[in-house]
Amino acid sequence: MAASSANAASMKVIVITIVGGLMLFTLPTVLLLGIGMMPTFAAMAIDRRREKYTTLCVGCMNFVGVLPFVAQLWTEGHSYERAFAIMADPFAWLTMLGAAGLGWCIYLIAPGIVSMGIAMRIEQRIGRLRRRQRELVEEWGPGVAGALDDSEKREAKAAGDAKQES
Amino acid sequence: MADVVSVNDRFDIDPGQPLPDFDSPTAKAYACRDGNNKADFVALVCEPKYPLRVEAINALKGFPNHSLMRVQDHGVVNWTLTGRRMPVLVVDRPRGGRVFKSEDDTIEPFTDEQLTRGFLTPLVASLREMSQRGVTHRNIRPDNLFYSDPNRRSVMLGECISCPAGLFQPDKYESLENAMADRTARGDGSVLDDLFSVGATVLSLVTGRMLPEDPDPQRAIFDRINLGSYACLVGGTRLQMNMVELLRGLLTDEPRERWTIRDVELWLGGRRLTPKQVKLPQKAARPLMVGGGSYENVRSVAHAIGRNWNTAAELVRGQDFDNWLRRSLGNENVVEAVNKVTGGANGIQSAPKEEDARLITRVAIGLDPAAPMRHKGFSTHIDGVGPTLALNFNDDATRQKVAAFIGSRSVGPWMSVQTRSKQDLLGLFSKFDKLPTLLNSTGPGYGIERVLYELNEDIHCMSSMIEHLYVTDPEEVIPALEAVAQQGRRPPIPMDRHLAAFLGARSPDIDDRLLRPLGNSSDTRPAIDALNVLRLLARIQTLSRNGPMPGLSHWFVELMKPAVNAFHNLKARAAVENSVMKASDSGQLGEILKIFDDQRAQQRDQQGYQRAQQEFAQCAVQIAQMNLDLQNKDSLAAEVGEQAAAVVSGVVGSVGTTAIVILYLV
Repeated sequence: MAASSANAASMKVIVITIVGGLMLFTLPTVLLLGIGMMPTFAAMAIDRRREKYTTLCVGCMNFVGVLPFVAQLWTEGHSYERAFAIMADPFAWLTMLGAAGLGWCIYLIAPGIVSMGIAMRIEQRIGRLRRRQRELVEEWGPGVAGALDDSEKREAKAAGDAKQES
Repeated sequence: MADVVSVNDRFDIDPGQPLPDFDSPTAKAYACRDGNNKADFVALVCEPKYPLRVEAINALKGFPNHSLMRVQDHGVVNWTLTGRRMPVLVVDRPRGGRVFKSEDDTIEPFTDEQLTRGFLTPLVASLREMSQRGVTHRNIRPDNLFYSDPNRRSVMLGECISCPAGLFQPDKYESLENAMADRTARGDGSVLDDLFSVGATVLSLVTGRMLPEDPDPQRAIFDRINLGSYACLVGGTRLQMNMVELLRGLLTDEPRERWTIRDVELWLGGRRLTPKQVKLPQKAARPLMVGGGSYENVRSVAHAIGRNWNTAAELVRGQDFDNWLRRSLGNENVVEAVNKVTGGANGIQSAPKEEDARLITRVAIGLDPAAPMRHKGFSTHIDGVGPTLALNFNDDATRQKVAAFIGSRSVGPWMSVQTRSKQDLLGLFSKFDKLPTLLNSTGPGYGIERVLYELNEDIHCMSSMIEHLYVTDPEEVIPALEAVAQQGRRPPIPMDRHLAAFLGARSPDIDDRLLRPLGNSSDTRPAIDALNVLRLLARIQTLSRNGPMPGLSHWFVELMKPAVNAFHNLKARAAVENSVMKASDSGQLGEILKIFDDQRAQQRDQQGYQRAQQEFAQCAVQIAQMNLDLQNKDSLAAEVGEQAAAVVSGVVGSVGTTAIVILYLV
């Protein structure tokens, strides 16, 4: 146990060292990504779920919005000047934040659409079950409902009584 | 002439012409004519509650002698005066009137000539013929005698078949053994009983008056036991010596010494003997006290014990009775008979207290085997039990005493001490042997009603539904029920205890398998009672083959509605309803029965119904669950929606990234 945690720690150190080294050699990109991906960091900050769906949603779209400018940076000379020039471009901001906003939109709209889908599916199944119940009653008479029917009657009666009392 | 009523399409009765002179105690007389030769007869329209002596009617068919009101025919007719069906006997019409119009009537005493030629000679011929046919008259008394000719020269006997034997005989016209029995339980007796009645009737004819009723009948019986019937009946009446001989011969209490038909014929032929002294019962050395009375001979003790049955057990168990029986009485035959029926002194002592009544019955049988059996105050000859029950069936006390008598199983011990031919009694014994089992079964078809029909083979069914239709044969049951079904007010179900018992007793094809289910109240299936009744009546209809009965069929269709409705499957129910209507139109109960007797179809329906109920319940549970899901769809959608959003974003992001990489870097 102690050996495996030591291995993990050493692996972590190696990865941080490599990433840190890479970041040291690609600072304009890191700068652009750090600033462009801020909506993602914000989403990450407010995302309390373990699965991090919000972060994933916003992050993916935000990354698509940032990636063209990273590519532009790489293709037009990987320098601080170019990075600052891109950051000074409102269109760049619109693109990066718009993409992040699109991510937020997807994240907010999807549950509603899913909810509608679920409701439709459930209602279809309920309809099928009710049809089957009607067929059973047509074949075997109302007695087939047994106690269920009685309970419905009792509920109706109780409701009627309550109405009268009120 | 009022609307004539036809009997068997042979005789026409005119209800508008009553003939009160020929009335019997249980029947009203009406004018009747033979449809062919217009000869006059008397139709006796009988009171249905009195059982007819059908066996005697059949045995007397074609009776050759004219000194008896012969039965020409009998049947059942719709009698408009009472609005019901009544049994009718068509009998000879005497040409003269009744000899004694009433019990109080007095007539000119008969001369010797009138008595011998006008009465005894034809009477003896009739009795001989009846004896050869194995029938007794048992209704010989002065007020049942008629003049057979308009000149009143010859006397004929009245009818003897409209009621049980001896029912209306005053005690004085009955032999001592019969007088000791309850009036309804005297039984058919023998020709010797008829000869005793002849003796008492002769006494009335020679004195011109009927013998007066005794104010205390029981005292009179003890007097007859102690002094002899001859002394009690003749008393101080002055008689000619030849009459004394005849009357002593006929009125002797010892059957073996009583004159036979042959003796009377010899007497009529002119034989004259010195009158025999009446043999009195043997006196014991000392009297025995029973119920506060003192009795000196065995017959009076037996009778007293029988009458004091509720207190006599203590006496019988005591040493005094044993001493009296073995030492004072001095009759080894009696001791032997008592030992035989009770098991001796040990048997008497070991009998449980609760069987005191049975013990007393047996002791009385042992003491006086020729007397009627006496049980709890019921005094009966073996063939008198049935008529007693038939005459008073609606009386609780009678039903109880008959049931107690049957339960006492006294017939076996009684038979063991009889001197009569055992062959005569075997049939009766086997019948009585099975009665306790039938009596103790409580369901319809058994119980006291079954006993009634077992003991009275010819009485009509007393079911309140069809009593008025006077049904005497199982074949008539279905048409009778059809008539009931056609009327407006139907009973709840075409079966009751009387009808079930009647069919069980009369029809050999109706056995326990059909009768037992009638009382199976534990079966709660709908219309199961009606189905069991249907099964029984369908069997009767099949056996009797008396055509379709649409009214009865429709009645059963009504009764079986709950069974039709018990079919849960609506298509199956409609099919059954259709089949039932078709079967009902056929008027055959068997066709209806076939439909409802299909147990497999009912089982299939029941199983299918249970499956359908389960499926319905499962559907309901699923619907409830889905309704819950519907209510919670938002929370469910939030989880799934976030996943979906992540997936969509991931896909869009991947596609976008790929496109950008391709656009910028390649």
